[in-house]
Amino acid sequence: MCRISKQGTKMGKCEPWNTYMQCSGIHRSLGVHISQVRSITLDTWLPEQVAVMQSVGNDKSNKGIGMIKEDLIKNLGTIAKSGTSDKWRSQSYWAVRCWVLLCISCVPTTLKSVISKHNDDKQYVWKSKADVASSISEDTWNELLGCGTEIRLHLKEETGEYMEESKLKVHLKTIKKKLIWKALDGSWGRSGFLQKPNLFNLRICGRVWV
Amino acid sequence: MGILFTRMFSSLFGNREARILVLGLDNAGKTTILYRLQMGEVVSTIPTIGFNVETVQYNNIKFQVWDLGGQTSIRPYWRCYFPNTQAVIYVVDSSDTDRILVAKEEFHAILEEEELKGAVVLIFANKQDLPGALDDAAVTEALELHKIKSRQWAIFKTCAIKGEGLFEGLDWLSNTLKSGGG
Repeated sequence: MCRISKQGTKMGKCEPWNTYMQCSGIHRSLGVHISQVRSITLDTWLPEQVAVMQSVGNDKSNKGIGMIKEDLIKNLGTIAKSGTSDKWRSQSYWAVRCWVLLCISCVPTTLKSVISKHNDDKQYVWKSKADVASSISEDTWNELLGCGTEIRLHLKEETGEYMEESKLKVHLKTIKKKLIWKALDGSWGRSGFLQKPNLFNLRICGRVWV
Repeated sequence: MGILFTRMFSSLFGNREARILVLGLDNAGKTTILYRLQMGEVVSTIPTIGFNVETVQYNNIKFQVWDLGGQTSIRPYWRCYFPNTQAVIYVVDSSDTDRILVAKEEFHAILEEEELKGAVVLIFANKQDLPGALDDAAVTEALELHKIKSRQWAIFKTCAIKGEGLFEGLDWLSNTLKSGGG
């Protein structure tokens, strides 16, 4: 399963072979403590690995497992309050938030919200408006996610170009590349970047509202 | 006589060539190491289905480096590449402690191969930058390298994406090959 292309990764069985292979390449580069890639046709599977895949299923693993309220506070609570640049430098902050931060601070928006539902908790929504402090509340109005995380960005008019998913993706990709390079550079240390696997609970849903 | 002369000539002027196999489990870092050695760059890789082969010129030796895919079902094809091999670079993902046992079994299976009897073995304990990575001593222990008899071997801690340890390993390899090993 691939959260990068939002498609099921079946090495050796897919039409756009290269797309999946690229994704698996990215997964592999993260290290086995975060992401493991197994080919359906080329690798052998242990019974317990098959069991894990069966119990999680495609749907859940594509959406992520979501965050409980504390996680949400921990991961997002403080970033929007102040300028993000200082926070980014501290390693523990850097790790989890790569994707959220990318969406949140690199795309100019009027309102940002992160909705998350973990199996062990209710669905919560985290909101941040322009320069106002963020808030977290129980989500009773949005459709239920089941489980997983969704990021919604309400774009400013002048940045309407990001409405096109492809443009947004390219934008995020360029920034992400820069960030990763900075991390590899040693200014934050690569291990810091990799410490928190929570990163992968997050998913950009591709829905963007103006 | 002519051949002898050519050999002497090339050993004097350092035109030696060596055929090297890079082996190891999938996702150990073989392809990254190959291109790090060849181009000095970190390339983003995808799982190797088949092989990559590049020539690396180092210390007056022309290494012909074969990087073979490491997925379980393609490991049996490694043996097609064994003949005429002077050295094996065995790459281990030091942070993948779950599969270090599999790595050990594959490694000792390679050592058993008749066609690789003469090959020297260089082990790269790769991915030293990752948290929880075993160091060279621990990998030596886990792979039971002490059991290796009548063969020259060495282990190096490496981090392919930073390029650490790779050329130290290649130094050892070229010295060993020059002094007649392999």
